[in-house]
Amino acid sequence: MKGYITKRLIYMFITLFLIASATFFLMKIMPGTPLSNAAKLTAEQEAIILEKYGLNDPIPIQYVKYMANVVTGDLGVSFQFDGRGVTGLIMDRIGPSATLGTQAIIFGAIFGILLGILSAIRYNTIWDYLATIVAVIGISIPSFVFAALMQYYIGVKLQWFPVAFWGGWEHTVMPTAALAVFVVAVSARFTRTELLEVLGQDYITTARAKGVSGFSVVFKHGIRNALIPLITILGPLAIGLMTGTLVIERIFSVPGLGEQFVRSIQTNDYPVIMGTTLFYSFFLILVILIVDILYGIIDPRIRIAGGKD
Amino acid sequence: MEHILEVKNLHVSFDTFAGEVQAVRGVDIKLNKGETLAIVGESGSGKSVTSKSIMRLIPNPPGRITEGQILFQGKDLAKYSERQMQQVRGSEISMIFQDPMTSLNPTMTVGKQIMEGLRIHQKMSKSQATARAIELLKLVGIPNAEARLKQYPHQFSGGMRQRVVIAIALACNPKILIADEPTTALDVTIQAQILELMKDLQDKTGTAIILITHDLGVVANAAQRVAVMYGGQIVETGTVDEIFYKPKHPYTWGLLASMPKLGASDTDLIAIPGSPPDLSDPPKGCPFAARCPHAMKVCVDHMPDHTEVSGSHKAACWLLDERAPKVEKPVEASVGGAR
Repeated sequence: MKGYITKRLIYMFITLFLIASATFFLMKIMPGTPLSNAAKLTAEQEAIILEKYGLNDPIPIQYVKYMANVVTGDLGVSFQFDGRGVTGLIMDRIGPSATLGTQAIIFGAIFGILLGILSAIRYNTIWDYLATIVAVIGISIPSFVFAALMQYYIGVKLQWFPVAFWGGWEHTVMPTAALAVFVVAVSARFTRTELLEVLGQDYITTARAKGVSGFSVVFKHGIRNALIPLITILGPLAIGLMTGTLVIERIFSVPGLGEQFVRSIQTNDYPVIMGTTLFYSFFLILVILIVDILYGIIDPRIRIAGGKD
Repeated sequence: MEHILEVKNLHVSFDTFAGEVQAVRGVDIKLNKGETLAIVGESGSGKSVTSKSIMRLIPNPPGRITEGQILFQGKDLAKYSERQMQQVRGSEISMIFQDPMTSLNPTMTVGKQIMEGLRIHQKMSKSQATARAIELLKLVGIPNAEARLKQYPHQFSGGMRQRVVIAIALACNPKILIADEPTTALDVTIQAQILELMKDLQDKTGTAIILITHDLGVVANAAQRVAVMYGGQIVETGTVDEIFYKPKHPYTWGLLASMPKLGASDTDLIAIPGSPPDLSDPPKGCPFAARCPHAMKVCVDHMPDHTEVSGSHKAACWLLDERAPKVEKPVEASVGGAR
């Protein structure tokens, strides 16, 4: 197991290196310049600024310099926020995004799995149909629609929660709910399909023939076997949510990472683009690793195969 | 002899989009204490449905017991609630399934799966249950039981898994063990071992066994009495000797003739021509009439009663009626297609 994780960590750094390289060159192909007022500058002024940020060097040299800095943990300095370190910018913004994302994935998954179980054990009854309707709505209607509806009815009319901005936990409720709707829908559908499949397996009949009660059959024998595919999709979904969803952050005026990332692309703020990309990638790869380790914990057959590797 | 189980006029139906399928149509079974009763018949004859109905394991919907009684020690299981059934399953009546590769939970250790029944029915503590599980694994001939207990099903071979399944079934010393084609998914050498093991365990525990199979070789080896099923009904019952040497029903003749024989000069397999009746629209008369080489007019329209041949031997065939022409088996066994 230790050898396996070490190997995976080494792969992880190779992947990060490749992502960083690819992003770097793609970013340089991007049209535009970091200088928003380039037209008004004299050639001399422009040269000074470009020199200051190291943008005069040939691109391969810039690449080597940047990568050398990254290895030492230095993500550089932002262009648009004068002199602010990229690491600091990300750290300032990650808090709200991570809070919302984590809450959405946890509550969304728990509620979705329960809904899926209800659907599967009350298969083809009114409960199943209701759960299916909830899931279809959750998947097909974009989250900003829910966000706007909640803002109006819960925020403005009922005044239960603040309509926007970032503060205490009450500010997180509505954005979390808006983000969680999709998670609920996806996990409910997956849980239902998988659990139905699992409940038709022979070993479930064996368990029933042992005199195990219906409840235990589902929770002790069913769920664990049904979880694998769900974890596969929940991992990357969690990353997407945790690293910020632009739309929801905009609607609720949450100072999150996604909002900043888009702005950095619009303004050719190279160090912030690079830094955020690397940060996203790092988390995505980390979650994939965690998911793979979770597989092993849930399914002993995968554990053995991984261990021999 | 005392009957531990008596199934009376059992009818089981499945509701499908194409209509009601009457999978079991009036089955009577008597099981004596400590004996092995084999139920034989081809696929779709209703033998598995009958056995699952006794355990009340038919999924409902679509399946339901429409008529009849399942008397276990005088009590009618057909009227039991799900909760009452849970107390019977695994402790009084146990079941072994066909495919050991799929009948164990892949994400639970073998030990836990054996101990589950013990903890539910006998309220054992964890350590008591562990001790009993080790004892059971030794009983079914799995070496190194203590270590094996902590392993998962995928670490066992097919034969070993079937031993585990048997250990699970026998954990609480059930009075009846229903084995639904327990050797079908195993290769021949392992089949013999598993049958030997079941016989052995029966001698030790006195459990009555209902053995569901389509393999007459298995029947000859393992059972004392045989019930032959066809089209959702039992067409002939008798002792193993009676069924093998003095069969009365043409379907039984066909089954026996279709057994491949070692050393037979021609290598063709003998089959019973035709296919089983459609049970969503069951025939009015004898279900075998359409395939029977001796079918008479009466067979098509009227179901024959069970005629007693001897105290232990009964068959449902019009040929046994005194008015019927005399047909004897030796010639007819070949009708299925032998030369």
